[in-house]
Amino acid sequence: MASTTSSVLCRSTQSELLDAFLSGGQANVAVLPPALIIHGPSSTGKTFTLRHFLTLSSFKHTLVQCEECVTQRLLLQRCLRSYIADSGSTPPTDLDTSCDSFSSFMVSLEQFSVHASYTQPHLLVLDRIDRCMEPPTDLFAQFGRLYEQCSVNLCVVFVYSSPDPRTLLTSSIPHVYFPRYTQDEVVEILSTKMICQFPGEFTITDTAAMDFWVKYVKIVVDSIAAYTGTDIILIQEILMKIWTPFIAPLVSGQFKINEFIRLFRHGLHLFGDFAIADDLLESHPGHLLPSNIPLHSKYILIAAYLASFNESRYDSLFFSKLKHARADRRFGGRKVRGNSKAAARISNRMLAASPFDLERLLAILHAIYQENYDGKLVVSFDDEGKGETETSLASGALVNTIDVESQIATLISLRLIVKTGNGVHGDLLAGKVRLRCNVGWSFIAGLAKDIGMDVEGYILE
Amino acid sequence: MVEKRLYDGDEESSQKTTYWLNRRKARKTSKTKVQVLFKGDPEGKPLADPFLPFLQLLGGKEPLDNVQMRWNLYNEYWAKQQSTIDTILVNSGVQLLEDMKRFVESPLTHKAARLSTAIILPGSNISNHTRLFDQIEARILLNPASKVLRLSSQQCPNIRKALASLVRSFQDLVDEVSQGESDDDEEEGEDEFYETPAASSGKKLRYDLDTLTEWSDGYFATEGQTLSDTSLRMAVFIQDAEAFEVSVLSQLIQLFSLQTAKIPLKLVLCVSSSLEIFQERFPRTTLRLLDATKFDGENSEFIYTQICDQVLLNRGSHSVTLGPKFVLSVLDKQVKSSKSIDSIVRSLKYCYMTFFYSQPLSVLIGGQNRGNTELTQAHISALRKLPSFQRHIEGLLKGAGSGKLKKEKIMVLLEDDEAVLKLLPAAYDDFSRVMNSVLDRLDLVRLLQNNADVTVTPKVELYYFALDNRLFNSQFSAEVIGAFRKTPHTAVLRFLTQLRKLGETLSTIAELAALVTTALGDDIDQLASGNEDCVSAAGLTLKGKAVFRRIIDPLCQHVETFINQKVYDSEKSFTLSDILFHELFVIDRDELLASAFSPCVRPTVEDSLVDSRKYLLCLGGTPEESDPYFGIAILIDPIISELFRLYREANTVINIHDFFIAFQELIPKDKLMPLLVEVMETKEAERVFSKTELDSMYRFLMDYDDNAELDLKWEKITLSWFLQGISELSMLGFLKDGNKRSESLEKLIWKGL
Repeated sequence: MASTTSSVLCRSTQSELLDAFLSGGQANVAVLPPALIIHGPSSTGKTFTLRHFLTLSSFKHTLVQCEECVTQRLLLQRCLRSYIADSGSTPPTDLDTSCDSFSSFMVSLEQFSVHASYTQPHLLVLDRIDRCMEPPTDLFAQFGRLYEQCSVNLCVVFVYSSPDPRTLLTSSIPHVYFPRYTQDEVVEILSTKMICQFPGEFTITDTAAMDFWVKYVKIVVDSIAAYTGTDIILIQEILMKIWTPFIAPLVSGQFKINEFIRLFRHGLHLFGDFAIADDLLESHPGHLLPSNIPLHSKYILIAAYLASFNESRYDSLFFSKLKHARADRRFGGRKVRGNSKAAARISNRMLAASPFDLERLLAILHAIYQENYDGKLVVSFDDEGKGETETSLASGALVNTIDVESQIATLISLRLIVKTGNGVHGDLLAGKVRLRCNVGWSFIAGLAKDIGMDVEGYILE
Repeated sequence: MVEKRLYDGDEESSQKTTYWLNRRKARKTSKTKVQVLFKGDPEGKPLADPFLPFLQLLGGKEPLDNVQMRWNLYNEYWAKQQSTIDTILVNSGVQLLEDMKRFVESPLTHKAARLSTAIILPGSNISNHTRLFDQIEARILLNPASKVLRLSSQQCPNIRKALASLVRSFQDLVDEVSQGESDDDEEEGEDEFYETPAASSGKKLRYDLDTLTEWSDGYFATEGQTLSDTSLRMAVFIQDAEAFEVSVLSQLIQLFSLQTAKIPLKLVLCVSSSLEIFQERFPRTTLRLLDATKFDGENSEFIYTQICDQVLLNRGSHSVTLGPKFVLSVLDKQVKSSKSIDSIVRSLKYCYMTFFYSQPLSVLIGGQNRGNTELTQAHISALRKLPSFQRHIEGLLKGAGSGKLKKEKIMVLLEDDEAVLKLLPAAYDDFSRVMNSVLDRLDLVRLLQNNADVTVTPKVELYYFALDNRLFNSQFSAEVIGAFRKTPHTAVLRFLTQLRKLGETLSTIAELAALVTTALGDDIDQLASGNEDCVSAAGLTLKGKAVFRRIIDPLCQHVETFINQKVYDSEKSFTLSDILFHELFVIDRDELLASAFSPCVRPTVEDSLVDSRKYLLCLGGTPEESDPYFGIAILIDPIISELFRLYREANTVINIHDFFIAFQELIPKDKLMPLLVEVMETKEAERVFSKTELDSMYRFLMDYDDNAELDLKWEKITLSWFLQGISELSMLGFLKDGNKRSESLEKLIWKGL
């Protein structure tokens, strides 16, 4: 099938191999292998080449997207259902399609084939079988040996990008390997079709546009290959992402179409973080600004951070009002023990958050609240203008009402504090539940700034 | 009661001083204490009428018509406020709802094979979310071709269950007939099949997304549409995206993105916490599957302001004025703990209800006897006992006038009921005049703030300070006027226009506007006309500046005089409590709100464990002395309370055996045993237990040979009580298992938190 070879760029060897293994796509003369493996890294044209081959061949075939299948049972069901549908024959009315196990699948397959006298060669393509949500280790062996146990004229084609599974490494199963594209091949493939267009108001001839596109592709691939490698899909996305801001000066008339290098220099910043950042929203102001959180929640979050990143043995140093405990803090803070230089060098903030008890959180909360909250309510003016501040109903101390606890629960549902330990799904107050702070330093620093608290004074450095 | 003894055991211990608590003496008082507790205070009498939940107040002397009138008044007043709040809530998020509808109906251009996704940021207060989601869903469903499938993290502990609930809600949506059947299936295993309508496809697994695909294929065939031009939309609404397990949500997103080639799918993610934190948790490959658009759903601040302005500070006929303490408690809660709209609405409703529920004089709201209900002597006497009335009499005593006339006037008020009632309308007029005057000035201060270069203070905060007599004649008002003085002429002109507009509805402001126009009208017209002599492209000309100077100082003077004029005809500084009968017109009970909505949990739990009689056996009526249940209740508290009392005295780590022995010592075996036997013979016991159970218990207690055997049985009983109590305490979070080797318990609750 010469047409496959010519229309799939840079994959002539693989097309020829497919041709050879699958009888040139001629169903009437076919002697199919029991299975075929197509493998190679992702984004190397495996599925594309195979699909192209299948459209040109006269085989009846079934293509199952394995990554859509949550369980193996669903995969087997889909294989059977699609196989029956693609064969064009009518299944027996009592056919069991539940596919509880692989043997049940085989029985149903054979029952159908006997009932419909379906003996034509059929290709069952299990695309991306390595991405099935349940580990497909058993499936490799079972599908690989299907021909031994079942008299259906079926060739199973495995398409995957993970390393070869041990069970399929036999000489009886032919392999087709798709190596990574080279950088030149990527440019060649992406240059063939212009996937981004100039805006309608910009007049340009097709040839000039195509020339510009080829240069654009080449320069993008050269610039970002270090990050993307030769992943065509990723590069394609970046091409589309940069396109509009890249050609903006061209559209506005700042540069001419032949001033490509100047245009590139002008848009050089686009080829950095902008191109490779994977943000949900391309530009978004930091949501959940500190002002959106109630005051007590801010203190609770800070207390949770302190509890997570300070060791409990230093609590008396930071939070106790006793003189002897605070004296150490005033005159030098941490006592370095012996030769623990390595431990002393690593800032606690760089380590993972450690879990803490609810009671410790409350104790720290009470301590920092009392020390930092100045009783200021919303407005802080007074009739004398002497800088007095309005005090709330309660004094500076935190009253532990149900509001505090419900806010802790809210923060847990927001996953800003997370439950750990055995009782994760149990009661919050159950004995073994421990909590952990789930927000980073920058967020806490923002909160502390908002409430005017010097949080660094409480952190062990 | 505490005796000091020397321990006469082994030699070493004999040197230690030991204290013994003589419990017998302490127990003696308990009975009389309990009897005192049973005496109820009949402040109000409950009515038999099931449609009238209010009590008959004044010790049951209140006429029934009055009770009915209070109930009707409550309903009438609250219904008005409720409708205002509902209108605010419905109109609040209109823009977001419309945007969401438009998003769902927008064409299916899956940019670069990405899944079209809306990210709603509804703010951190999760209590407002359900209402918002319901509104969004209702709005999207206005289009019959749109389907909404809602998923929450509780439904999705793993991917299979997530898909199963998705398919299930889809089936419920499109096929109402099958709804009943699927409900029956719920108890069965999760791999049960659904019978799908298409016979050819056979049975499908619960979590098979092909159900959706086949349905939409069928829809396309019926409507003659294709995926690219269909109006059908399926919006998957993930309500609490941040609470999902990362792996589950990633897999869901991956599956949905694969389905975009088959189903007209739109994804809606609601992220209540920080978006940065949310996206950091996800793998880059998942993020790359989404083409996200942001929708800001945080409007609680807006709703809050609206409710404050239109309900709290309402001048309407059906509003009860809220006092400074109440306003402060609302503000305090709002800032410190939750920006929940529902909580404000609930507090307001509770306030209205408590006012009409507990105040027999609330029939006089509005300064007149509503519905001409009967006012008894008790009502008048209650009026006379109001602090404001007493202050009024004191004021009359101290006031000017000759001795005899003054005495007569006072005596009339104290003796003649009609005279007291006649005071009411005038008092109400006084009150409403003062309130309107305060609110007018607040509007003016807001107007000044809006046009000057200063931070705009929420009106409700100004209201609090005004009622607390700290706004007028204050540094703050002087600063606002000072800032206004420095504003450019355009802002001043804008202020004047707005002032005139405000004057159309408020008479006092109209007077001020007229005063300003009379005094400065010509200059203002000259400046407002944009005459070239005064105003040039660059700003004011020299002449213009002179005119502006002529305006600004007198204008500020007028405004200052208006704001700082005396609020109430009283020599003292103004507070609401100066006004006669203000108790009838103002609700100001913050302590009720605090106890109803923000109770202190731990002290409440601890207090009730220490003194269980706050909750148990506290209803009216003295039980019979012969009742064995009562006998037990006097002898011991509930087991958990007894244990908690011991727990309080224990150290952080408690040895289980010591704990048990102490507990066993607390239970008076000799008195309790006969009572237990008696209890088993009561009708209640027969109702609760079967006959065989009772028999076996009876045998257990009565069938023994000697005291040693009885002691052993008693130990078994107390041990079972002990274990039950311990597990209850640990469930309440007081205890946890300590070190296993030492067989101990550890205290969980720290003192004073």
